[in-house]
Amino acid sequence: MKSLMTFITTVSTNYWVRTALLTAYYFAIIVALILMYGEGNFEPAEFIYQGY
Amino acid sequence: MKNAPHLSASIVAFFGAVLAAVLFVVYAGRFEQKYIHGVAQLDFHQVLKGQVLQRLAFKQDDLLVFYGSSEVVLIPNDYQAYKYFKDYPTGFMVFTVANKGTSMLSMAQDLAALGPDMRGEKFVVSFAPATVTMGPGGAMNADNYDPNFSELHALELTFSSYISWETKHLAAQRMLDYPNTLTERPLLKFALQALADGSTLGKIKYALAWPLGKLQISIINIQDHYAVWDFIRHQSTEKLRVTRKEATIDWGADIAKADELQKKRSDGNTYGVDNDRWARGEELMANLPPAGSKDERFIENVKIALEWRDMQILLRIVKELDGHPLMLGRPMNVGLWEALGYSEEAQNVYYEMLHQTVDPFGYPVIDFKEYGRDKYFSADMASHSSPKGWMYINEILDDFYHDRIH
Repeated sequence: MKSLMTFITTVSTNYWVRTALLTAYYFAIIVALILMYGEGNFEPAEFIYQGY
Repeated sequence: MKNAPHLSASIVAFFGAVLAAVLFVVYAGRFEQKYIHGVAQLDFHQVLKGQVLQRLAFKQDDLLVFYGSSEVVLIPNDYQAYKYFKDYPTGFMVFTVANKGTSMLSMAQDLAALGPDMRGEKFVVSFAPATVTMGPGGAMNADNYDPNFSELHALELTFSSYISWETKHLAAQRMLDYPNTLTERPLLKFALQALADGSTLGKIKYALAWPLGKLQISIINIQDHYAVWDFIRHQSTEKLRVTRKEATIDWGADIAKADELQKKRSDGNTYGVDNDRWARGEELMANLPPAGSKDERFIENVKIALEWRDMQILLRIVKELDGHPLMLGRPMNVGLWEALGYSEEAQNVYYEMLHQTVDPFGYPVIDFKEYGRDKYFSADMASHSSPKGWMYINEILDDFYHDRIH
């Protein structure tokens, strides 16, 4: 447990590791947003025949 | 940057996402190229409001892109062009972009979205008299226009750098007549209002909206690639398999076969109308008006039909993008319309207006007027093509592709 805490402390204080983790975090947010709202709809809506 | 780790990380993540999107588009483009001929023989209704496939189809020498409306798709039969030319018998296949209720204004937006990819390319614009002769105000009503409305096509037309301000101004005026399509699209509505306004203030507003419009188009384009990629990967290999069998077509024999078929399909009435589409005709026949009694109103309506204005917008767009279209009409069923109180002279006003609209642009027009007395050309009163009608159309398509029509 102590060694895990030491590892986390070391990682969080290392600039490059912290930046990499933050980048992955923001990238994941962007990907999640794309997955949630990014799909377009290119199918025409249902046709209502006008009796022509 | 060391003092702002969140800023640097979010910037890197953003550009990483942009790079991933670019790489996906490149990959999807190659994937689509591989299957475009397979897609041509499918119903790709799910991605009809995109433009990736159309753009790609235009670049294929052996695909003839064919735009149309219900006259193309409402009555399925084996003689429809995309089935008839499936095996590339004379060296080409038809790539059909059509849906029920598609109007000239919808097609104009669709074509505008092609931009410079249209330059020098041949394609077909199909239409039937019904929109002019039977539509309210001689145009598609909102119930037809709205389902076919494509945000991508509308944005491409609105923010096109290849189409003149005057043409965009005319298109915007008409597009604003269908407000339901714009209620949830504030940017598009704002830009269309600015275009339609045409004043100096309108031009400033349009310029302000332009970068956002272009950005939105880029995003929808990526979505379009994804939708097409997803559509293709869900098709079976069998469906996407393309066969090419060169053959000599005996047009006379195939027309005779189609004629026989249409006679059987319409043997319950004397007007050549499909039996399963005769109910409305029968209703109208129950109380026939005197001959020619409806001419005056019909002529007036045909002359002021909005569809002519929309056709002019479409033709202006095509001219400015340097496309080479064939304007492919359909005949009215003269005998049937005469029985309903519209004389042949009155019906001819439709053809006169058609030529008055198209001829100044110099594009070839096939109106099939000479088949007005052939009751088996169409399957119903609205000139939706019958198997026999399709055979005449197929012959024209073959002539057009092989440069026998200019």
